[in-house]
Amino acid sequence: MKKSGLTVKKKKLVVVFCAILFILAGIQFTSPSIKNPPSTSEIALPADVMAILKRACFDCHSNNSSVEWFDRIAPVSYLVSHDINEGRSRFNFSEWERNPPAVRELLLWEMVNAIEEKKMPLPRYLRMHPEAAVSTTELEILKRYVNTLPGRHKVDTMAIARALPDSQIQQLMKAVPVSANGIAYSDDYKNWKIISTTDKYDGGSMRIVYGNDIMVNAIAANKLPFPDGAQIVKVVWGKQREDSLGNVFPGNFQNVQLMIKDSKRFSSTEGWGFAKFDGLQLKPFGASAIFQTTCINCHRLLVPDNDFVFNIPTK
Amino acid sequence: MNKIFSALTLVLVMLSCKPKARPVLAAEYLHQENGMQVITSLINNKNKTISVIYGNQLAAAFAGNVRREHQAGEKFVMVTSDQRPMPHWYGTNMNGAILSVESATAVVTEEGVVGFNYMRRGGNGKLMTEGVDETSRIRFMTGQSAAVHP
Repeated sequence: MKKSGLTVKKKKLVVVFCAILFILAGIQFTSPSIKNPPSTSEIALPADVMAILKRACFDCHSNNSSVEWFDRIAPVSYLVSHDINEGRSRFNFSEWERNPPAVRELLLWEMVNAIEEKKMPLPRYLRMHPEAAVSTTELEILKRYVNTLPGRHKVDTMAIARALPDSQIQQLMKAVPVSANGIAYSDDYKNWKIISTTDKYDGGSMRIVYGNDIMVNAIAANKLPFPDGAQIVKVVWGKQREDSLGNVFPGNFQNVQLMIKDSKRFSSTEGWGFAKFDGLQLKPFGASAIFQTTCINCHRLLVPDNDFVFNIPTK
Repeated sequence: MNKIFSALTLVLVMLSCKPKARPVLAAEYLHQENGMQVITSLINNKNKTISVIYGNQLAAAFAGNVRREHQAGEKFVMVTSDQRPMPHWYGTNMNGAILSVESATAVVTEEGVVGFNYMRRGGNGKLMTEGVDETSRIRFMTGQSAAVHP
């Protein structure tokens, strides 16, 4: 009886093993192929910086993905293919000039931050490719490099445009600017409390960040995630030249950025709706609501524990 | 294909789960000036500070170049905070603890001219009198142009 029981168990194991083998063999036929299209405009970088980024980032963020044999076997190939497609869609070192110059700089700062925060290279990628890890010394090389980019030392030397002509103000009063995702501009923020003041030296701007009562009360109560109805407004200026005492004052007004918490309405962007209104004319940024994806991608990557908000006062 | 990817992701997420590093919010870095509006902000990289200058309606009108002469009743408040790196984003500094709150209120003096009463408190609310050059501080905080808002 005992012998017969073992045989049944063995038979079951063989069946399960064969089924797994059959499934594994089957999914090889649907395994995605990973292709490297030709490079159209590869990023130009100093040799030491390029060496680090090639080793740590190029597999997913370029058209020169170096894929190991085990990366091509399903089901791993699904994950690898997904990561490469996602990586290339965020930014592609082989098609670098598709990004406007200011965006190129921002992406380089974002890379440094993603590495510093240990979000990139992806931990699951590092497990299989430990040689892609970026050391502290290498991160310092990257930081030194981004500090040489033009935006780092940008000074607003233009005469400050004080206000729009009356005719344009009247026009603005008639038609409130509305972002592509339906968020309308409002200057209610001028009566709100300041939640932070920032020197964004990576791009040569300074900001005052306002929070409405719901936001401020949540900060006072140390309440995270922030409740629906919380709103943040960032007012952005260029920076004037530093005076002899070390003071830097706001230059020209650049834009107003809004974040509104509504977990149902903005469920695809972690409950936050984003909007930006450029210049004194308050021109809504983004031809379609897709621009929100760019915003949340960075917030999602770097500040998920802050309920996806950067500019909050924390201990 | 999507199902396979989702299943794989779920397994990886479960394997790499770690507790959230929830930040502690610092309400003490906030400052409230009731009935006042923001005139401007400034960064001082030599002192490693970041400041905001507020003003009442009369002060804001002066800073906005509506008037050329100071007028009794103007009130300016300058809040100066420690400057610290913004968490999670190398490339930005932000305000930290409040170091001082200065106020300058315009009054008509016995000589019949407009002058200012000046006061400086620390972040803890205590009056600070030592080492303060009142005249230069008043000139500085009442002499800045308003930042342009739409």
